[in-house]
Amino acid sequence: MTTRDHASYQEEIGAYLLGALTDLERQAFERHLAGCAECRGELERLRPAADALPHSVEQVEAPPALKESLMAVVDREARERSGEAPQRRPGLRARLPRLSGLRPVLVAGALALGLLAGFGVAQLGDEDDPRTIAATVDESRLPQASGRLQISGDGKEGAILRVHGMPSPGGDRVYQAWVQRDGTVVPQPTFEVGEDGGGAVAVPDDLSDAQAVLVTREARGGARAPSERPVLRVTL
Amino acid sequence: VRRALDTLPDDQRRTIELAYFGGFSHSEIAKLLDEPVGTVKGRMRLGLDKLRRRLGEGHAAGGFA
Repeated sequence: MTTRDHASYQEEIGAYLLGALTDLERQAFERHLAGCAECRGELERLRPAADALPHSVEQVEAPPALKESLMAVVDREARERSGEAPQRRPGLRARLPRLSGLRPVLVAGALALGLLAGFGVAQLGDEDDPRTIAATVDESRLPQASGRLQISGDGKEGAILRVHGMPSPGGDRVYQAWVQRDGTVVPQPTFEVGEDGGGAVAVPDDLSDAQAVLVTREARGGARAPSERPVLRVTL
Repeated sequence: VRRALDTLPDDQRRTIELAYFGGFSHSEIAKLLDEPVGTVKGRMRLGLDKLRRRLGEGHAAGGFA
């Protein structure tokens, strides 16, 4: 078509199906699609895979504010790492504990976003922030561990829990966060820790009326209810 | 579907999950993973292609829920 060639649009078919294009990109893609039988064919070939995705988990929309603050954190960290320069490459990768499951657990509130925070943000945060609460750790099980919960605003928009000194949970397990509220425990995202034992997870739930944020070790993919006594607890 | 998704290479699965379930755009994902945007787009497409084939196998085998 006009300024861009077929190959560059063809490349975006996956992103289009996954809803990962910006509005402008999507419009441009659709204009190209209208005149390109090859791309239409490819799109229809791949569509069944994208259509099947909703069946894999219950979908939950990310709280936009939390998502924004997470992106801000990632941006800031990228800037810090690269000196102050443009903010791209010399990146997070070396420090990324393997991006955890990112598998949206089957539960409300647990969406990929939180897992996302499982990498990259571990080094951030202001020690003096009054909205940061230290965690209590079960030292018999995690002797070296520590954690801090950084609460955004009044807690209605969740928080970021950062941990250090956490061993890999072993087996095919991950850590999972929980919010305790009025005697119930609400599942939050799962996360992994890096080789240095550091990690972080976004806790998207409203914390304004919660009593505690907990962490347990669960099977990859997360659980609906904790399978063990929490290894870490942040009392609110 | 979940099982099919789990059989994808990690980088493809993550990218798909971030885009579809996390609602992130390809450029945000590129930033998060510190990968070029082109790589991210490529993984989305490859990942969907693999997923499509796995799902096909699943059906043939009476398979995936």
